Order: sequence, then C-alpha cells, then structure tokens
Amino acid sequence: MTTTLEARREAVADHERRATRAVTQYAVGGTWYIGIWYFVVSVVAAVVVITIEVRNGGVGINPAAGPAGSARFFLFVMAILLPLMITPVHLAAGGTRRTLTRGFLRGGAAVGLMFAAVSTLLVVVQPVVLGWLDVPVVGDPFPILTYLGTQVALCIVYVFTGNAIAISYYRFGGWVGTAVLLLLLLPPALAEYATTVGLVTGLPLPSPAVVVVGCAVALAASATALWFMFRDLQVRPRVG
Amino acid sequence: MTAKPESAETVAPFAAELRDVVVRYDRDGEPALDRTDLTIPAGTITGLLGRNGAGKSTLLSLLAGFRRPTSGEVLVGEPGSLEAAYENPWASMNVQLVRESGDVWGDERVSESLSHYELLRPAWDADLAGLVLDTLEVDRCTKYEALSRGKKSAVAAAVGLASRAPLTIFDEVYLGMDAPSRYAFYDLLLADYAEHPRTIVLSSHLIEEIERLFEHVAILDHGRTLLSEPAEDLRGRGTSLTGPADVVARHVGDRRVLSEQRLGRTAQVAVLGSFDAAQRAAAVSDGLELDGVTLQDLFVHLTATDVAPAQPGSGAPVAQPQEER
Amino acid sequence: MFDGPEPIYVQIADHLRAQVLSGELREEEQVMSTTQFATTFRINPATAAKAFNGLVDEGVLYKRRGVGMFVAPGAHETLLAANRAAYVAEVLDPALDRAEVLGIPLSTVLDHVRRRASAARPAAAQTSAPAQDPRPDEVTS
Repeated sequence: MTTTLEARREAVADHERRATRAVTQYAVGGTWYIGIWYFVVSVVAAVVVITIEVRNGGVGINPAAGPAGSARFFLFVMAILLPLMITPVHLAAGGTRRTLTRGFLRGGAAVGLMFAAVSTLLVVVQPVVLGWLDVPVVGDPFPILTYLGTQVALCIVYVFTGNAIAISYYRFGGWVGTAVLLLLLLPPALAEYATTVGLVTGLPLPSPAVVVVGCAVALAASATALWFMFRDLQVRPRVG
Repeated sequence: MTAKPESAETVAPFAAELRDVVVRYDRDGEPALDRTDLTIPAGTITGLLGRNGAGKSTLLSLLAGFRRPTSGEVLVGEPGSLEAAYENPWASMNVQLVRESGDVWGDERVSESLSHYELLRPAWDADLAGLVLDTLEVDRCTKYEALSRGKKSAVAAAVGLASRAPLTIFDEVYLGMDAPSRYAFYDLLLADYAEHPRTIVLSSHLIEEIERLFEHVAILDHGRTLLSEPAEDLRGRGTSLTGPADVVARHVGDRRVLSEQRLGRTAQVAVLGSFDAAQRAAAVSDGLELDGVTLQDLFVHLTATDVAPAQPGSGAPVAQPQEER
Repeated sequence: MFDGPEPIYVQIADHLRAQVLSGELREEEQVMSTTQFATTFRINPATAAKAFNGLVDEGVLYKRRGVGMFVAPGAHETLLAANRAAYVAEVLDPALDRAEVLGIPLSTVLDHVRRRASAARPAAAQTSAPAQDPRPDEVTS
C-alpha cells in the first residue's frame, strides 16, 4: 500500500505551500511584533526633535535624514535574529531548507515593502506638519516615488543580508563567519551607493540607470546569498 | 488552515535504511557514525539503544533530514519505495523527530509552537496534543522556558504523538520525565500506536522499563550497528549458566562469553547464544541452573568498555549502565 | 508482570494457559484483545499478538472474525492432559532428585504422600487429584 504518485504530488505541493506560508508569516509577524515599537519610537523622536527646533527657532530639518529613513537598520537587526529562532522548529515540524528560503524571501520582500511604505508616509507627512509649525524644511525636494522605490530596495536588501548573516554565523562559526560577513555586506553597500548617498547628503543622485541597475544587482545578490546560506544548512545535534 | 488533504491519513508506515553511512563533524576527529548499516522495519516500535556518545542522536537526525551524511545513503519511505531523506519534502513531511531540546520557541507560549507544527504536519491531531499535555499536566499558555525539565519533555512527547507521522522518532525525550509521567507517556504511546499504526523509534540508554514496548531492537556502539533484530529473538539470545566452574565451562563450549562471575567453586557465566532442548537437558542433568539474560543485561555486556570479568552476572540485578561520555 | 528473562510472548502464553487451567478464563469466554492486552500490561501489541496466535495454533484460543478471541471449547481438558503428562517429568522427578541429594529416604517421601492422601480423601471425593496442583506449568520446559 503505497501512496499514489498523484496523491503524493498534491500532498507535497500542499505541504510546501503551508510551510512557506508559515515561514513568511513568522518573518513578517516577528518583525512587526517589535517593528510597531520602532515606528512609535521614531515618531516620538521626531516630535521631540521638532519641539526642540520650534522652541529654539532652529535652522530646519531634513525629513529624509530623520529616523524614518533608518528603517533598514532596524530591519537588518531583526533579520539577524529571526532565522535562528525558526530554523530548528521549522525543520523539526517537517519544513525544508527550500521552504525556509522561500518563506524568508517572501517575508523579507513583504516586510521591506511595508517598512518602506510606512517610512515614506512619515517622510511625506513630516514636511506638512513642519509647515503648520512654521519650521523651515531643508534639503532638496525629491520625487516621492523615487524615495519609495529606493527605500523598498534598501529595506529588502538589508533584510536578506541580515538573514544570510545569521545563518552564516550558525554554519561557519566566529572566524569564518566574520570573513563571510564582509562578503555579505557588499550588496547593501552597493545599494547604499546607488541610492541613499544622493538623498541624504544632498549630493546629486547618480544617474537613474545606476540607481536601477545598482538596486537590481544588490537585490539579486542578497537574495542569492540568502538562498546559498539556507540551501545546505546542517542542523547540529544539540541545538536549542 | 484546518483543511488537510485526505491523502495524509493513508500514508503507510515508513521504513528507514542506512547504507554504509559515515558522519564526521571534524575532518580529523573520530566519526560520529562509522560505516553504519541499519534497517528499521516499517510499522514497528523500534528501540535504538546505545551508550551516551554512541551516535544515536546523529543517526536519528539523519533520518529526519536535519543533516546529510558525510558519505553513504540514508533512505526513508513507504516499504518498497525508499528515497533519500535529506531535503526531500515527502520525507520531511512524513518524518517527525523530537529531540530533548524540544525544537520549540523558548520565549513563547507552548501553544504558539504547537500551532506551527499543526500548520505543517498533515496528520496532526490537536485533540491528542491536548490530551498528552493534560495528562502530563502542562499548561499550554505557559512559556516553554518557564517549564521544568519534565514538563519540557512532556511538550516534546505531545509534539511527537500528535504529529502521527508515518515515522516518528523520540530521541531520549522521556528521560527528563519523572517515573509516573514516563509510564503515562508509554501508555499514551501504546494506545495511539494501536489505533494509528506507524513506525516509532525510541532511543534510550535506560532499557529496563521500555524494552517491552519494542518489537525491534538495534544497538549502536561507537558509531556502528552492533546488532539489529526482533526484540523477541534478542531476549532469547543470552543464556546464563550457574554451577560448578568446570561443569559450566564444559557446557559453555565456544559460545561468546558476555560476563563471568565466580564465588568459590561456583561460576555464573552469561553467554551469547541459546541452548536447544537436548543441550538444556544435558546441562540441567549435570546440575547446572539455566536462565535467560534480560535485554538490559545483554546491552550492558555487549557495550561494556572493556571485557571485565568482575562485571555482575546476569542473575544479579545490574546497576544502571555507566554514565560516561 | 512479564518481566522474566524469557521472551515475553512465552510468558504471556504461559500466563493465559495458567488462567484457562485454573478456570479463571472459562471456555467460550472472550479474552482481552491484543490492543487491550498491550496497553494494560505495557507490551508491544505485536508481541501480544504473537502469544495469542501461538495459542490459536495450539487450540487453546480461537478467533471469531470481527469479534475477538475466545477460549476454545475443550481447551481446559487439553491443557489438563498436557500438564498431567508433564507432571512426573517436570515436577515429581526433580522433587525426588532433590530428596536424593538431601539424603531423604524414599520411604519418608512415600509416608508423606500417604498421609496427605488420607487427609485429602474426604474433601476430594469427586475431583481428580492431579488437578489440585496449583501451578503445574511454573516449570519451564
């Protein structure tokens, strides 16, 4: 009595869908679980800064350089924490490295989009509020869609890279892990070069081609790094 | 989320097979598994016995696809269609390994982890998980980390049983429980196994109280399979002879001596191998007393570090296997 | 229960035979299912099934499809006969051997037997004497 091929194919497909969804949900839910506080703190910090500026009749604020623009660093930290928590549980529950990879790719993309969107919203709202309060806004105005696009790319690259770094240290230990870390930081460095350099420092943006190609290459490279790290992950005999 | 495919219920109990498997954690160190061959028959409760460090956990993590062997083949599946266990969704969805470490979220409620298992395990039975936790008195709203060692083991037991996986492996999880909980676990396991036949592997170095659950027994020693056979055959394999030393020696013949104990001119010798009716009658008429050797004694003798004639014989109660690494 | 050194199915079979012999299990009475037996005594169901199937082959039990296992008609008699046949070799001979080792003369043994027989006669008027042996299958064969 063996399972028919068709029933089996169906069962496997269903299982992989469930497993991938479980990882995606964990990545998104786990990030927002703390991420909601990140945005609360960001808003509070912005309010404090604005209040001080208003009291002292300060020189003005660059919205793009505010806390909202650093979502990617928060995501980076979360992305390092989450994989190690779910990996043993997921494999023990019947998931595979492939469903882990897919789940983290999807979860990272979703989280990156969400955080970039909320950050962009804050950046859009901030000058409006500053306007009400008669605080001068510094920095060149820039197209909001470009800001959103670059934030999306940055956030996702940082999430993928964080995931990959976590697994890299788990697999290779301290010394080799640190050496690999330097390699893994290349995609975010590229993304930073291609985008934020122009926005934050007030330097002119690199040409659109550099932005698009740089982001695309950084995304592809960080996703590949993540896949490569999970692909052949060996669970050690005694891991909590 | 709760709609599970019907086919999940009809997957036959899995068999498992290791062929010439080597696992090395360090390039120069001793291998954890050293050219191991092993077959776990489908539908049995199999005991995997071995001292600490014998390679039990490594072997079991191979079956669950937690890692791949350095060399050799690790196969699982319905009888007649075995396939590689590593990174194979069909294998991993049908093999459940529970380890003492639990593989649950430490800083979350127990129920959170269980729902992850429920989402992934095709045949998960939430009622059974609840029954196990209730029987073993675990509050599923408690954070896992806040539980005692025994209650943590109970969570692992609940995961293993409720998964109803065609190959379910318990890697020493029940060692953390107190005796009443362990017996409650054995009862739950047997009752559910009788109703939902599957292959169950229990690894342990404490044998006395669970050996009767086994249909098949494999003994692992220093990364190799020492033996693998039906439990009932194994129970009949050892014989102990007591009587005058010279008479005992004559009847032992060329059988492998497991242990020997002397008291004056009387000797008690445990040997591997049985005696047929004629040999038995001959031994008895020469004034010898014949007895069986329990699985626990057999295990202690077979895996003892060195052949020590001072080891207690099979007739006397034997202390727990030595705890050393 | 069943923690002797012999294979467990042998011990289970011995246990059931003893129950039939003592009348604790009557003919045509249903015995526990292998599952019940396994869970009650914490034994592998396959091991229990092996013991039960052995007893079916011996004619001590029989199967009713879909219902369960029952004590076979005539099982009590069959077991009595088998145990009686083995009584001399398994019980009496070793006792006499022991008497010889201890230097108890055969006449002393015979005197004891006669005294017991005359004391037991009124009470055991209608039953046959060998059936009184409480646990004749205690000795392993």
